Parts: sequence; C-alpha cells; structure tokens
Amino acid sequence: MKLFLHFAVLGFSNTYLFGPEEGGDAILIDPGVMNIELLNLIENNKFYIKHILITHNHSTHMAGIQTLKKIYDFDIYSAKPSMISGNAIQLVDGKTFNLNGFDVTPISIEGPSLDTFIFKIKNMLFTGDVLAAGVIGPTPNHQARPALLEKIKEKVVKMEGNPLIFPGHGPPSTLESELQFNPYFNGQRQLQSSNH
Amino acid sequence: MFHAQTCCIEGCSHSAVSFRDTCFEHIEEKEKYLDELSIYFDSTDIIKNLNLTGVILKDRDLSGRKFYVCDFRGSQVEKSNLSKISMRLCFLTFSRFSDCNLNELDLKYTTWSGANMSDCDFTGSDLLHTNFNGIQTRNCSFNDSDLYFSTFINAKLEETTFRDCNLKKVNFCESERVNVDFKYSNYEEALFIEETIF
Repeated sequence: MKLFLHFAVLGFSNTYLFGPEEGGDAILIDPGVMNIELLNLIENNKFYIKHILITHNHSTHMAGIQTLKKIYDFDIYSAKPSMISGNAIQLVDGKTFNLNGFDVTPISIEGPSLDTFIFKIKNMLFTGDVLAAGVIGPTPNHQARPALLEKIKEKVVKMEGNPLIFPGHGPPSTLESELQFNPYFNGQRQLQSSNH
Repeated sequence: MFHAQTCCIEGCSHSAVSFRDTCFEHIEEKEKYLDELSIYFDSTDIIKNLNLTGVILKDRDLSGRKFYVCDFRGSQVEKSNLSKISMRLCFLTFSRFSDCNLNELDLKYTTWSGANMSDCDFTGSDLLHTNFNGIQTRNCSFNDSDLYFSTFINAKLEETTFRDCNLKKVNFCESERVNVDFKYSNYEEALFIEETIF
C-alpha cells in the first residue's frame, strides 16, 4: 500500500491519498484543493480516484471535489449528502464499510462542525480538524470546546494499538504521543463547561 | 508499516521488524541483521514501508538515503552519520539519538515526538511540517534550518541553538527552554502562546 500526504497552501490543510502499490483504485481523504501537484501525484502512481472520504464540511477539506469530478468518477462518503452538490453516501457512526479491501470505520465526533467524522483504517486515524499534533480542533465557540475534548476522550483516547494520527492540519503524530505531550490530555490545559 | 506483525516470541508484544518475524530485541545475530539492512539500503534509492522499531544503530553511515513511510519508533542511534537523509511520513517517536551527524536533513510530515537527542547537529536542514513535540534535547544545533510549520509543544530544550532559522508558524507552546539561542531567526513569527492556529 502507498500513502501520500498532499499539502494545500490554501487553508494549510492536508489531503491524504492512498492506494495499492502497483496502482489502481485509490482513496482520497479531505481534498481541500485539486491542483497540478495532486494530479501528478495521482497519475504518476497510476491511481484512479474511486472513493473520497470527507471528515467535515469546511471548504479547506473539500474544495477540490468539483475539479476532481471532471476527471474521475468516484463515490463520496460524508456525514451529510447534501453538503456536496451531488450525491454522497451517508456515514453512520461506528458502521464499518470496505473500500478497496480496507475496512473503514467512521467515528462521529461533533466539534469542529456538527457533521464531523474521523476515519479509522487499519492502525491509522484520519482526524480532520478534531485532533492534531499537540492541539485539539477549533470549535465554532468556546462553549463547544469542552464537549469536543470529552468526545475525543470517549472515542479516541481508549483506542488500542497506539494508532498513527494523520490530522487535517499539521504533522502526523501517534496516540501515545498525544496522551503524553498534548496539553489537553496531560492536564496542562483545563477546559471548563459553562452552564447557563 | 501498514502490515505490522507481532514478534513471534511467546509473550512479546513488540512489533516484528522487517525481514524477520521477531522484534529487534529478540534477533539473535543483530549485527548480521544490521549488515543485511545496510546491503538493502545500498540496493535501492527509496527505502519504504520498513518497520525498524526498536532498532539499535551504532557507528553506522546512512547518509543520503531516502526513507518513505518507515517506522523507527523506539530506535536508538549513536555516533552515526545520517546527514542528507530525506524522510517523508516516517515515525521516530520516543527514539534516542546521541552524537549523530544530522546535517542537511530533508524532512517533511515526519514525527520525532518524544525523542531524546544529545550532541546532535541538524545544521542546514529543512525540517518542515514535522512533529518534535515532547522532544528532549541537550547540546544540539538546529542552526541555519528551515522549520516552517513544525511543532515543539512540550519540548524540553537545553543548550540548543536555533540560529539563523526560519521559525515561521513553528509552535513552541508549553516548551521549556534553557540556554536556547534564537539569534538571527524570525522567532517573532513563531508561536509561544496558544492561539487559534487553524
């Protein structure tokens, strides 16, 4: 299997591309932009984009879809089919599906937006805006931040196997590293729920 | 790295290294294994999808190699030449480096989180978009390097120099710095206090 990270300067976001070693049907995660560099990466590895996974509906994570549609014929997997101007296959929390021989488990974590999912594929966790190296994702307001942290603790922190973390922004990490060095998990930063 | 198998020794939960069915600790002839690795490294331009967790390298020359999606977690490297190495999507978390030449590295999208480094020289490197969270450094140099968008959150940096570096969007939040030199670098473009980054 081959895995590539494509960095989009617009939005400073990461797109992930992976597919078989010998080429063939490939998966894109969060195509924030479609440019000549990404096209060359796809074509030079003899990939054909067959599936696109969207973690959430921010443009920096899906703006490349319109251009990709003109080149490839693919399925889109997202929380809300209506977010894409076209059909998308709706994700169901915890319901694993198979793409190109890989089991993909979508995990719903509301926070960066109400329709946020992260994806677990083998020992890899594609976390979108939910979790990045040393930080947790942005939220629409301060009140949502403690809730996001609780969701991460509930659904990610207890995962076995020390998964590798591939975020939507910034460098990769591991769960073990985040538990030790992310200030939101090691007690350095406290988030208080506000009661109204 | 995507097909990691567990060491075949009963009771051992460590990953088996590439080309063996045991972890590095349980390899009986370690030097022979390392020599086989050297031969393999010499045979190809790009070294990819290797699992080398826990490997111990001493007095080795790996300069100029290109590593792609390799796993070096928990490895120990001592008195070795790793200059001009290129890495993409490699994991070196909780590794140990001592007295190593790491000049002119080309790193992108790699993770050195939790690594312990002493007497290491990264001078003249491109260390872009790389995770150095939680590293511990002593007597190290990152001089004349481009560290754009890398992170040093919760790093413990001692007697470490970052002279004439590009520190734009480098995150040093929660880091401890003792005798750290940022002279001639654009440290005002780095982050030392948490703010919305993206």
